[in-house]
Amino acid sequence: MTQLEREDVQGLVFSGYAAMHEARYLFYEVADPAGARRWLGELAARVTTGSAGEGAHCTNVALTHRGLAALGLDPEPLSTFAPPFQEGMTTPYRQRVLGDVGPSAPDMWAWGGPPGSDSSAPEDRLHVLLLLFAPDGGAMDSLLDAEMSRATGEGALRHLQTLQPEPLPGTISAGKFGVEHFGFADGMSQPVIQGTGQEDELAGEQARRHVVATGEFVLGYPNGYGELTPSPWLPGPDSGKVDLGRNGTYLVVRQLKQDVHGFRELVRRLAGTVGDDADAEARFAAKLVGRWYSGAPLARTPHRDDVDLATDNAFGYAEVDPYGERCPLGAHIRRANPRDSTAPERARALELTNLHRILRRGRVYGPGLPDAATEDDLVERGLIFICMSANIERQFEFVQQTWCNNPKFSGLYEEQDPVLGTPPPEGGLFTVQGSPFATRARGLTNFVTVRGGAYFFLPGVRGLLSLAGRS
Amino acid sequence: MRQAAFTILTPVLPGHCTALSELLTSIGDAVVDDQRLGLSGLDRLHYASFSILPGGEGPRLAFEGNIDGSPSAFLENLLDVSASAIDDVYSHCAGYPPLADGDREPTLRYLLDRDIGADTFFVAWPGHSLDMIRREDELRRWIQDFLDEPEQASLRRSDPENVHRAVVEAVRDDPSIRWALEAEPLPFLVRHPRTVLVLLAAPALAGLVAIVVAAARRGTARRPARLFLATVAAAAAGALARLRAAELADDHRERSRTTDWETVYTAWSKNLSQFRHREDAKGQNHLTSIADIKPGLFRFVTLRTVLAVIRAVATLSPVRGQLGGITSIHFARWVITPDRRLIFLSNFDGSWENYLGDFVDLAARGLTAVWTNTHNDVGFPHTTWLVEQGARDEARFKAFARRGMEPTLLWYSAYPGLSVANISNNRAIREGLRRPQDAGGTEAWLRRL
Repeated sequence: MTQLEREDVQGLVFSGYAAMHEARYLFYEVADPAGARRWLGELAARVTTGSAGEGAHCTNVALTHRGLAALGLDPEPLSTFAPPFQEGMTTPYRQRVLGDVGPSAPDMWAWGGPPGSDSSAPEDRLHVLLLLFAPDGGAMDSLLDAEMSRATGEGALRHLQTLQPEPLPGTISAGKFGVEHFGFADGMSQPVIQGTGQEDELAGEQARRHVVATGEFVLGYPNGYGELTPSPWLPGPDSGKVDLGRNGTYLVVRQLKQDVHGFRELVRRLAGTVGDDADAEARFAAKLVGRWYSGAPLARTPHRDDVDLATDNAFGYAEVDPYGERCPLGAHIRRANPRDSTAPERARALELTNLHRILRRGRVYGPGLPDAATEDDLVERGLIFICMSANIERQFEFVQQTWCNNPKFSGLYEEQDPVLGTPPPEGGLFTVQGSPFATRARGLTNFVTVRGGAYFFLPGVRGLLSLAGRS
Repeated sequence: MRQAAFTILTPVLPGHCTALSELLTSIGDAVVDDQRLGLSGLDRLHYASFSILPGGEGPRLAFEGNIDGSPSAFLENLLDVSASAIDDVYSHCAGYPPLADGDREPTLRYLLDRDIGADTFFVAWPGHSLDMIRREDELRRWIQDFLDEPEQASLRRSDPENVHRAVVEAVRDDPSIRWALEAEPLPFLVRHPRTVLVLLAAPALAGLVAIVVAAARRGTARRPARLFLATVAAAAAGALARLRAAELADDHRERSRTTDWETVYTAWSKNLSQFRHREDAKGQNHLTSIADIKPGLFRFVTLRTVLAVIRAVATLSPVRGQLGGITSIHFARWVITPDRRLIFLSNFDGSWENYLGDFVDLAARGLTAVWTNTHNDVGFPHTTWLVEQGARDEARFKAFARRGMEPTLLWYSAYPGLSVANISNNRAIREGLRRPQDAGGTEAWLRRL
């Protein structure tokens, strides 16, 4: 197999940069194409790759399809990119695929919305995403100063907006993993990319469960089918092609606003579904998510939270919980990664599931709602969701459409992901499987609203140089 | 009741494609409330579609129906209730005798004569009439609502047998739902595919054994038996050699093509938006596709044979509700047209991406055996021995499939809210009222609720 060229792949593919507590995501518009290409070419030397250590700070860069056009890329190579990336996230079709309807419709987005909407960075002007990471506030300030002046100093780019996640470790410190605003430990389960060396630590069932082909996340390597995912190219010398995609990937950014007060209210209101004891609220919340607040999976500990299992990721559903009596069939984590439950035969099911994995790099934004809050403080908070996949349709969009938003997931009838979904106005349904028969919680409301989003291309370093015209 | 398929192909009058397409799209945009064709009022119609397909002698209107009972009975009824809309649609087709002329018979003949049926017709749940599917879903809701009543809270602490008994009693007490306790068996073939399989296969197998035995023993039958086996073996070897030769010729053509498939597909893919007008609007989708059969008799015969095998497997498979492991198809058909094209029409649950992914992941061999005999300008992926590789080349197979699609102008589903799995679950709930059929007994029955 081809050796993974880590030195040519941007570092975000391999790491969430946990040591970098501060992050800023900057949106730019190309003002001067020649200047922007020059800037990109110089930036290529500063970009954090997968081979270097994280150093004093980290820099990564990604572009939208409109951004590539604004840099002056010709229509022919532009048409070789993946269709969702070309079309963007706001078409009526993609709204249906992603469930971006009602309050989450792109017309209402704070950024990335269709041209003419109130978005501060509408999709026709959203060209470049610069991702900056630094260990603390002071380091971030100087990094920001330096990068901002390089980008805009000579008029190459126009700054549109900056997204600012909360400093790690997030709103509440809870050891290794971040805690998202609803209060759940997050980010436990990530695919392990073949060829990074991390797969050597896993064996047997754990390897089958988590190790995913390199080409699922980096273009230019065999994917889960043993094939190369179609990659964008530039016309090269002698009517050949220059592979622009090699060591690049597609990056999805979505700003997901969370209604924490609404979530807590709902949990209080419907906790009776799973009992009337003191733990009923925590248990009902866990049923919705599929993990307890600590992160411990219901599939492993169905009756009570267990911090010893907080980081546990060595579980499946087929053997211990085929009917959803521990972790409901429609729970968030069971939908987002159904593991060994997608086919009758477990090993095959894991293979099938792993054709739809994504690398998540989300960070929370906005201050946490105090535990004692009795009413909504109306402060915006949520998750800046970032994920990467080589095939947007088969990976990110599939998870969203066929697993999370699909009312028929796992033989169910009419319910969506209880956390991410947009329930109908009359309220959503959530079935808690149990003995002797299931309980249905009705009246679920919407807790997560999309506030912005876009598809980006995260080129390899050589790809950046090609785009800058320096190859 | 048996389900039937009709595929009515009629030539579109020159210059009429746009008007016809606009008419069908306008009906299709609000198909549930539409009163012109009134499809939602037809109690024997599961799925229907209209599309305009390319043909050797110009474009043709394809009218697909998936129905209970016979096409003639269904069409008679349709002509009675939707005369003027049928006239409006078919006035764009050559040779159509309008109903407005006063006589229904010529119109009915016109449509029936142009019905080319299906070479392979797959039905997820044969024998389930539309009426039964709808009633059994009503029953499922009724029972769930009953169990959710606050007055039934004590049942949650009860044992499964008690819960079952309480449900049966409640159903019996409600005259509107009491029908559910009566037996409503499916046809014999549907309930006992294994028995039918044995009855059909046994004589053939016995004959083969007799020939092999005769060939091995001394006697008068030895020579003809050996001759027969040798002929069969020679024919099989000949067919395989012919197949490899055809595949090598395909490989050669592929190497000598001037534009690679990715470029061809990229150029075509701007057409994608015309399919997405309605794609993924609901939980179910429709797919219309057409491909040319590769030239020569060999590919034609191979395709017919493969379709016959799939038909036999689909009809006699003891596991219902799936085709080659794919569990999302309600009704699908392959039809070979008189001008050597292969039409594929499918009504399925979930997204196109999921459906095509299932093709690649679960049923690559069977689908390769079908479509490797066809081509379009993307071209079917490199195939060996009829079933190997082919659809496993995920990206190219999906591009080939997308390229072969034609927009479905009007599509109707009688139960957009029910998946293949829902229909079977509802059926099992109903059957289990009288006696739980699941291996896990009453507990397993209760899990269905």
